[in-house]
Amino acid sequence: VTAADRAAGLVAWWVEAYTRHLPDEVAGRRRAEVDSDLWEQRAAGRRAWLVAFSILRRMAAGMPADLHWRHGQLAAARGRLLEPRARPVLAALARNWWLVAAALVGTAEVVAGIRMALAGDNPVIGTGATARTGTTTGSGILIAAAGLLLLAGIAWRRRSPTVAGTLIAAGAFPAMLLLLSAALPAAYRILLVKPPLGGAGLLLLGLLLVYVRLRRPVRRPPPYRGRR
Amino acid sequence: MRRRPGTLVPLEVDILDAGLALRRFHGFQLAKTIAGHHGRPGTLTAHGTLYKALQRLEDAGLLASRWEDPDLAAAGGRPRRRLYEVTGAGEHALAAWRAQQHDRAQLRPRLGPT
Repeated sequence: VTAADRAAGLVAWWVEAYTRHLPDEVAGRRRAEVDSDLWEQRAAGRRAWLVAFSILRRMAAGMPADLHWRHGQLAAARGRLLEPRARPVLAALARNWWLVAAALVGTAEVVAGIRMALAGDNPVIGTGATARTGTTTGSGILIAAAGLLLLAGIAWRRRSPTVAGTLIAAGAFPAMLLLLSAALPAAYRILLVKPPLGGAGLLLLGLLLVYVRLRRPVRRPPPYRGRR
Repeated sequence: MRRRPGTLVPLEVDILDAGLALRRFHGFQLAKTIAGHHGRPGTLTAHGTLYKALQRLEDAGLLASRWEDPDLAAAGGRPRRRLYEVTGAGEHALAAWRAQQHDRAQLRPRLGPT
């Protein structure tokens, strides 16, 4: 066993690692192609250590591309689970589920905000207060405005992902408070709205989540259409 | 960074260029040809970069590929090769890219240094 063989073994291990859990056809093709390449390079090389060095350099330099390729293949495989031609609505939902969820949250906020402003129902810290007061009216208007912000963010996402992400995160703020209030015991619910740092932290977390979601890489490369 | 559709990156130009010269080729042969063309025979394109670009070009219809006959590989005592060929669309894309470069080169002296 030469140094080149050991290097080839290491590359084979790496290829095995990054093709794991990919569809058999895709993974098999990549493994076979790299296997053939490694064989050809060892057959063509004269000094084993020089070949080993070249093989290792090629592996290391190609690692980012390997990982990016894996990411794309996984995304494509997930897309194929729902055959677009057979079930277009389900396939579209699978791709855009988070937008659908965000739209539902936005709509719910608008409806709840209007209800709160008109009837005094408080969805954030409990439904105990049912009488309409200045506070509930103001809060209701704010929640409805947040819902509208969220819906505006969805509509804006193709123009500017950053602006859209900010609008969606800011708009989702009341819904996040509601979810957390449901998860916390009643005695601690007031903590969600009282300390400004807690609220700011939630807002930042929301921003981060939406930003990560919007900045995901494109699933498929654009097709070539010749010279423009 | 998102790429403008229809453009070719330097590696893709190299692949199409070398592919047209070789007519039918496999990955390692291509890497060797490209390295030789750049005057650095020891610096072969990384596996990940090369095979990802080959697949991208194939998906775009600029290359076509098929597995080598297993009997041939067995006779040679080696793994099967994936054999690629540049398609008509690939040839056209390369010609278009060259024409674009030529136009730009001609335009540059008229505009002057920027």
